[in-house]
Amino acid sequence: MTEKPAPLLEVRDLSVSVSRDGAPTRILRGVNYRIYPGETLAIVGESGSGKTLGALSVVRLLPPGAKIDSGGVLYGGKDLASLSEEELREVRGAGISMVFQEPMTSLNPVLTIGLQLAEPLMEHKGLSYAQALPACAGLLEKVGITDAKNRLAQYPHNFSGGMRQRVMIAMALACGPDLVIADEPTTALDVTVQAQILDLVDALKKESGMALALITHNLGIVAQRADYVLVFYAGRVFERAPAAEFFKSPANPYSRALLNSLPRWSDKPGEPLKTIEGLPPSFDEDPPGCPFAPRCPEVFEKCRGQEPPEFRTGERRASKCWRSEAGFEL
Amino acid sequence: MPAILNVDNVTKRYRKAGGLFSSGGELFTAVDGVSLSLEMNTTLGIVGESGSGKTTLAKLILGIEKPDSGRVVLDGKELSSLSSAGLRKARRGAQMVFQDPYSSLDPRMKVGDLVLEPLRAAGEKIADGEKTAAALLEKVGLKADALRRYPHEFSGGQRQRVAIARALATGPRLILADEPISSLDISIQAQIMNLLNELKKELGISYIFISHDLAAVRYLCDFVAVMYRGCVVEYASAAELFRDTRHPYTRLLLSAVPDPDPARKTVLEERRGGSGAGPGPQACVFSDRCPRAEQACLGGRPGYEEITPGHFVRCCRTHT
Repeated sequence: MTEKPAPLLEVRDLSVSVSRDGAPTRILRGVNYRIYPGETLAIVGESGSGKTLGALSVVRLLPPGAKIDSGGVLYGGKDLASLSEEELREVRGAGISMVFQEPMTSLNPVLTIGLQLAEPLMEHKGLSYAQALPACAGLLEKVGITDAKNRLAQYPHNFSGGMRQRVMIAMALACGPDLVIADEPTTALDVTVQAQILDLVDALKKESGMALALITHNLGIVAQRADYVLVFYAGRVFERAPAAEFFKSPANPYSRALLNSLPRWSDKPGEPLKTIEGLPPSFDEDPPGCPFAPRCPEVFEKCRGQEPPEFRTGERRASKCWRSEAGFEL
Repeated sequence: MPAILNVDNVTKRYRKAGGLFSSGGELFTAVDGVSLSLEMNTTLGIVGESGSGKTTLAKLILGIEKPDSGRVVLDGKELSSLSSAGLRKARRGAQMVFQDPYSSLDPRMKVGDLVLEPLRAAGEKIADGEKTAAALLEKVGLKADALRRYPHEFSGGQRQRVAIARALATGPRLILADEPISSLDISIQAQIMNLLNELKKELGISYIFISHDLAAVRYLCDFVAVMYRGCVVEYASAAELFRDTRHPYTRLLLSAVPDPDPARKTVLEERRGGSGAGPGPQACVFSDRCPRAEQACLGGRPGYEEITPGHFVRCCRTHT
């Protein structure tokens, strides 16, 4: 782990805001992270914490009215934030591809699986439909779908939820990406199917050397699958750390509270679980100080007056908390 | 302790939808000879994958569906023997909380009306609606000023609290909660689990907790029934089930749960490369996926055996 190759992708001080009725609201603030080739980066946080946007803004998949205020995304020597829509489309699908949560809604119900699988190959590799088909059959086999040739002529409703998610993964792999961004790819699936899909993704990663950015709220999946963790809260990265260290010694009080609120096998049934009281701030309110301060069990005076910067807490580790100040500021 | 619920060898079949011009397809057994009982003031967890019959069983328990055979006895009354008025009365004693607090609450109704609706639907005259509603909201940790607000003004966790207050309105003895925490954030899940436990202590109610989250089931439940293809394949107290897991399907489910401790690596205990065609009509329902399946499992369906007091397993290989 000491001799790292160059990062595949680097997000630097990225801030994004959304305008509603003319008034901009900051939804990402000063986000920093790197993804290295072949690594699984887990992005965790509660709903509305910015975890999905923090990943999808990399390829500028932004909601309507959103814009990048500052910062950049370096990928293959280019700043993705400054590319034209057309140049960016080349990156999406070919170099960086996406898998979304709901395979039911992200596949087109009136097109055959073959047509939908062929589309990225036709778009990015300039193949005709007939040329793309053998590759599509190969892709289906790769994701563990048997009888691939006949399956290509079928429609999404002929596939179970787990099978559809396999198809989505096959589509994401079509052009041999070096990064796949997966947004809650197994949340809608049964636990056994979830384990099968994650095993499949791990095997494909090993084979191709691609990196994976996995957005999830399931800390079990993070513990089992991730190399590196980003914790989002209120549009900021509160902690980033190698996964093993994160679980062993979380540096940020929010990370600690999150891990403590999980029911564990070692818990005594019936004893109250530790919870994080209160609610995350809404994006409209922007009180001074740390946005977690009103809920933080380790809060002290400074936290309410001034928002902490990111402090380095170790090798590839940082925490946005005054309690981490002992390290040196990044 | 007296039982709040007895489910006795209940089977429910549906006809699969046929084509446009056919009179209907083959029969599909959603719940297959299920027997369960639930003691007062305890929590029964029902786990299993989608399509295993969990929700159909819940509907049978609430009298929303009628079993093809077998009996459901809720709080001393056999549901299928009741008139529709009697059934309506029995249902007041058993209420439901659904997975998604976004779609289970009518967005056009104020919270005060939402929590009183079950009482009004039961034809009850409410003397002081505001006071009654405020008392219900207090039980679930919401302030009285919530009464005049609409569901969209609340977060997911608060909405689930409203749904629970609504379920409490008729003073039920049993609450069926179908995946009540799975759409919520982790920190909020813990809050709702704590609330369910507090209400159990305070009001003496019983729960049926339908979930695929085994860590939550272990934490909340006194007893657990594991369902697979309409059958209960294993039943035991939660402590026993997780300590001495016997059925290969329960083991598979447990092996699929990603442990939040990275030092405890989980490996899926499933036989790979099955045909996906499902088990034969005579075979054990799990035989096509079972890593321990042998010839005997294909020839006959195993009985439901009590292997140690209170621990039931449906598996040919229990003794080997």
